Amino acid sequence: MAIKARENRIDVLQGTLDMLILQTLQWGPLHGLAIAQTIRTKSEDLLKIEAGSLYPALHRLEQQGWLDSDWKTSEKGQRAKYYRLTRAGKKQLLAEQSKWERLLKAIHLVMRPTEG
Amino acid sequence: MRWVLNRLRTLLRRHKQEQDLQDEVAAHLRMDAIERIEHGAVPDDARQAARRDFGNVLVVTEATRSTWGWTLLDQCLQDSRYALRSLLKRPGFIAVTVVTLALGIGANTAIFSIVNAALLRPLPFPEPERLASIFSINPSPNGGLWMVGPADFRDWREQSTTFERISAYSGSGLSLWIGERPEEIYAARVTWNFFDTFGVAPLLGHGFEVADEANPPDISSVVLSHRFWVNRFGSDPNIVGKTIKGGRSLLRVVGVMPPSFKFPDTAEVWIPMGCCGEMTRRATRYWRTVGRLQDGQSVESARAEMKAIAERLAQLYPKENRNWSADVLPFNRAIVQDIRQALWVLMGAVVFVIVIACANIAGLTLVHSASRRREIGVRLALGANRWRLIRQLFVEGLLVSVLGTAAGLLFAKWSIGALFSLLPQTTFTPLIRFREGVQLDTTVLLFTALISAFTAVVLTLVPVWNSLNLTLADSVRGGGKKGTSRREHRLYKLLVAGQFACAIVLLAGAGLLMQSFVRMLNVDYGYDPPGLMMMNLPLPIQGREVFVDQVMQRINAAPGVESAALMSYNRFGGLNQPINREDKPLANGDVMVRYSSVTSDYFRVLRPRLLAGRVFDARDSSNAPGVAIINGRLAREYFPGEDPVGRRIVLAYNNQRLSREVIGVVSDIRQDAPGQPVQPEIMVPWPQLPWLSANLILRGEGDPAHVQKLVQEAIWSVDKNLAASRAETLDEVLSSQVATPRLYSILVGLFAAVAVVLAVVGIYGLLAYIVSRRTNEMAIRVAVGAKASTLVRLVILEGIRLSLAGIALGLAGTALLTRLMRSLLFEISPTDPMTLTGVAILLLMTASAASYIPARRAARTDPAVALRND
Repeated sequence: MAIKARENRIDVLQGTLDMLILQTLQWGPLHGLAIAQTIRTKSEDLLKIEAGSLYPALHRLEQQGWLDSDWKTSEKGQRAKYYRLTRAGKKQLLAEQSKWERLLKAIHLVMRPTEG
Repeated sequence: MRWVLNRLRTLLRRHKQEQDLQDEVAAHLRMDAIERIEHGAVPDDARQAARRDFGNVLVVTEATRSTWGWTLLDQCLQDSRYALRSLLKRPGFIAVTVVTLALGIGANTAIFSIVNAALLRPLPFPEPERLASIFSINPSPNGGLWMVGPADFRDWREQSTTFERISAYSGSGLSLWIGERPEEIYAARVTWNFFDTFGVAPLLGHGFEVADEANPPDISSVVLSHRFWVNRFGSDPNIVGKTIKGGRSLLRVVGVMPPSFKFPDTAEVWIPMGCCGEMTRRATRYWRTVGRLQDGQSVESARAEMKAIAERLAQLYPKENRNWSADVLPFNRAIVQDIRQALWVLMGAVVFVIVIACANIAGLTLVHSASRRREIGVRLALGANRWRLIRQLFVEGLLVSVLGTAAGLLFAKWSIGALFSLLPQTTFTPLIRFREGVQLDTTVLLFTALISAFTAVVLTLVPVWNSLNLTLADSVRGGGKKGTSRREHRLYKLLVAGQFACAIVLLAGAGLLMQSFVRMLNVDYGYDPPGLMMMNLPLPIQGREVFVDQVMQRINAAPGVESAALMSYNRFGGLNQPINREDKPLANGDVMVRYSSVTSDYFRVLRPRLLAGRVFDARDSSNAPGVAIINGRLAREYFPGEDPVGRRIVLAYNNQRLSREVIGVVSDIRQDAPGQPVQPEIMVPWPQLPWLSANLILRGEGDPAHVQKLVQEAIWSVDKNLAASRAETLDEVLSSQVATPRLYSILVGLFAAVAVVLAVVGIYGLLAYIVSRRTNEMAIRVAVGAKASTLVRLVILEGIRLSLAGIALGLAGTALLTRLMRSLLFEISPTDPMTLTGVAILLLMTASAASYIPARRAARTDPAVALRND
């Protein structure tokens, strides 16, 4: 079962990770672990975000001004660094979404089974 | 400052950022573990699972860090650490390079600090660019710039419109009573507006006034230097208005100058000049001038005006001024006239030193980078970033050059002190006055930084250039033994030949200067300096004749004194008066000749050869007919083919024309420094024409201190109010005359020695390298029966060919460059074939000797090596 899950897992496309993070954060601030878990759960375990990609991405997005962060105590009483979307981040998310939709459409057109 | 703060702030922020990241990762792991425990895992397993899921913490943190934009700084730090490690692995290389750089940079810094102090730094006066000096131009062939006659000065001052002010100054000794004893100090005599010209106001009191210029010298005003006021009057705040007893007069202190005002450098006090008819002297040129240009006037416009005025004066006073003209120089150039060219020559010499040093280091680096090609090649093959590699090589070069610069600065600091200690501490050596100004200030450090950056570029460019077009195939083939090595050799050979070219230029310069110096030492002074001593003899205001008679009698009678005489000139050289022939006046009017008033013993003291007639004796007293003696040079020049004895000369003296019978001709007594030609000279008997100040010259036993005491006793037995000044041996006086040329030849000699050593190290290194690269070839040659001597010859010939190429190139340059130092040379041509051939042979021999060691190694090659090596 575990092995099967790993086989089915999809590598996150370069560049889409940023979008996934922004998307995940649009419902409210989350810490790194929660972001990874949310993406994993929502993708029904198909996407697993490695810490080695997640944290560089978070820090990069923060540097670009799309995310902001501060230390807060979680509902379980743990101190954690929470990231939230900035205004610029929301704009960026919209841009990424429309880009992604166009890309999906394009890929779909290319990939649809040819007739006859 | 702000930059430093910024750096600190980012460093602090960086620390916090790092801490944040660690915390973040820890929180992630903790929360993950807690969740797993909540789902029923055992705590240890939960922690482990969390860790496993997270992946390599180090890799994650490193990847995250790289997004911070810190990487460049990090990498540079890493590069420096790596460079340091790589350099420490090559202690020999680093030692040779740092020492070479230290010598080059140190010498450059030291010489530049003098150039900076003497030629570049603005003078410490307000608006120094408006200060200018006016000179007379002597029309005779060896004339050039001369000092100025007081009457000319007065006329210039009255007629000039381009100058706001013109003032004059001249040196003088002054007897002052401080406490119990009179003491001889150095005073500058100046015209009344001297301080105003410089634009410097006195610290206390005021400067001179117009009236001071006309005051007779027995109620003179005096302005004290800060140094003199502090040392002798304990900074007495009420000094202004007090009087000091002088040797001949009372001096009233009118002002004290601020500590920054030191001009002329040796002046302890300033006294006014120009009174009592002095201003009417035109033909005696012994004043120096400094003027302040009107706002908006240039040196050129002032020069044009002065030339025009001088032309008018020449027409008005043809006897004194015929064909004399005037010139104006910026003041900062005027006061360094005598050392300007020498300093630029020295600067040129050190630039050659640094060029040789760089070529040498470039060669060494080339060898080292060649042995590192494999390493670099492999790293490139393994995917190392090319720019990163270049940067690393650059950091290595930078590190070496920083170390070399630090050592060079220490060396410079030490050598500046050593350099000045080579000079006698007299006012004679023009360099000494810049002693205090020579500092490693911002300008100098900037210059050092510039050189240092240049060396860093050389140090890095060579290995970078060398590794840039390194292909993978080259490195795998084993450092590119074939194609690249040829190119590498060519560059290395070029560097070595270049070093020889530079070395021969320096060596030739040093050879010429040393020969000039030796020739100066061997100059015929016309007298025998050992045993001669000289000192100033103070004269009373009244009763000079009696005083001179009695004092001279006592001195001559003193034990240990063989003979003593008085003469008008001080330290040889200075007084000039116009003369003419009475019977056949010279076509171009009066000529300026050296003028000396001497007592009859003068000829017993200096012992010139009597060429014709007789010397002065008791017959030539003050009321006897006027007579004169001329030197051989004057006789040859103005009485060619005639016997001058019995003929008459007209002497223009204090606005009179005195007729004198020539009673004798004596051999030339050199009054000028060895670099100068002996001038025609006329001598008159002291009793008939005593000079204002007297100098004692004395042949005898004992040291100067003893003689000074003896003279002091003789003076006090006649006049208790006068002080004897310091006695100097003639040897001292003469050696201080050649002290500056001596310093130049020592310095250029040192630079040349460094250059030769570096060039020799260079050629040795190159040949050793070539031999080691050609071990195979040598081994094969030995195997097929080449004799050891053949191999030795092969290598040595290579060395000679290289050095010859460099020397030939260098000699061509030498012919052009040594011409620039013509004024520093004495009785030798800048392209003296003997010197040039000599240094070329010397250098060639050194080069062959240096080639011999690698040649021996080549000859001892074991033929088996060829088999083993590949």
